[in-house]
Amino acid sequence: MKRKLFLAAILILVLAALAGGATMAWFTSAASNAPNTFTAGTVSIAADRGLGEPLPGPMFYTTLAEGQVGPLPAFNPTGPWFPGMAVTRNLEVRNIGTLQVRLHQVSAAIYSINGLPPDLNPALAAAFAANMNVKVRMAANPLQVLYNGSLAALLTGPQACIFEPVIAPWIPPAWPPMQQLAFEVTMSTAAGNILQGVVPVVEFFVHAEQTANNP
Amino acid sequence: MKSKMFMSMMVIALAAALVGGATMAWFTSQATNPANTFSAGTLIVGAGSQTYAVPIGNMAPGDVISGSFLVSNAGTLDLKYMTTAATTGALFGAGGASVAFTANDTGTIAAGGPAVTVSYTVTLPTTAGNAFQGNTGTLAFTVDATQPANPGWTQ
Repeated sequence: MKRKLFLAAILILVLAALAGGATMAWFTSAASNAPNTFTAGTVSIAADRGLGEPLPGPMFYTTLAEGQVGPLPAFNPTGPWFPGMAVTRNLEVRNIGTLQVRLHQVSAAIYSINGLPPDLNPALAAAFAANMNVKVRMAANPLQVLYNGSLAALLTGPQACIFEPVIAPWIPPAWPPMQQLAFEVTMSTAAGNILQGVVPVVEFFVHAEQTANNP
Repeated sequence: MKSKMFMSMMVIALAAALVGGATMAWFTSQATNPANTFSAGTLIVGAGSQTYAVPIGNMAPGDVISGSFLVSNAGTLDLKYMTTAATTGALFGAGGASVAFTANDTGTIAAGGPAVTVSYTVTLPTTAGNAFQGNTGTLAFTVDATQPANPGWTQ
C-alpha cells in the first residue's frame, strides 16, 4: 500500500513538471513604445526699435550718437525735448518662443538722470516721470491701446495692458511672428524750467505670457 | 468636532496655496528696449549792451536819440521773445521823455540762429519845457523768452 502511494505521488510530480514545461513553451512576443518625449514649450520675446530702423537700440534718442548701437548708424533723432513735445516711435516685438504669447504688461525704469543713478536725484527723477506721458498702442490701429498714463506709474511696476495683443509661435525657418507697438511719449506743457537741460535715460519693458490654458 | 474643523481649514489653506502656486507658474518672458534718452533742451535768451547813435546826455526838447541792443539765443531750443522798457527818473515823468521801439521788439530766434537787433528811440518832446531842465532818467530793458509753442509767456 505504501509503495502504491509513493508511485502515485511520483506520477503527480512528473505530470506537474511536464505541465510546467509546456507552459514555458508558448509562443510569446513583446512590443515597446519608443521613449515618449515631453518637451516643454518656450515663451520668449525680443524687441527692436521699428519705424524703418529694425535695429537693436533705443526708440528715443536726442542725438544720432545716442541712437547708434553697433556699427550701423541711427538716423531719426528726436532733438531736444521741451514742454508740449510729442514723439512716436515703434517697437517691434517678436515671438522667438514655441508657444503663442500675449503681451499683457508694460513697465519702465529710469536708468540714469544726468549720467547718475536716479536715486541720487530723486526729486528730479520724480519731476521728469510725472511730466512724461506714455501711450502704448498698436502701430497699425490707434484705437487698440495697451497703456495710456504717466511714466511715473510705469516706474512703480508692470501695468496691466488694456488691449493684449497676441503673437503666434515661431516656427523656423520662417521669420519670427511680430507685433509692432507704437510708443507715444509726450512732455507735459506743465513741465516747467526744472527740467531744462536734464538728460534722463529710460528703459521700457514689454511683458509676455503664454495664452495656452491661461485665462 | 474641533479636530474636523481644523482639518477642514488646513485643506482649504492647502488648496489656496496650490491655486496661488499655479498662477505663478505660467511661462512668461520680457523684452527690453534700453537707453532711451530724453534730453530736455535749454532755453536761454541773451541781451547785449545798449548802443546809441549819439551821446545820450544833455538832451534838449525835440531831441530823438536812436538806440539798439542785440538779443541772442544761447540755448538748444528755438525761442520767441518780447522786449519791454522800464524807465525811472524825472526825465521820464509826465510830459517828458518817452521810449518807442522801432524794430524787432518781438520775434523768434532759431536755436543756433543769428542774434537780432532791437531798435528804439528816446524822444524828449518839444513841449517838455523848463520843468525838465537838468532832469535825469534811467532806461532798462527786459527780454522775456519762451518756446514758440507756448501760447503765453509764463512757464
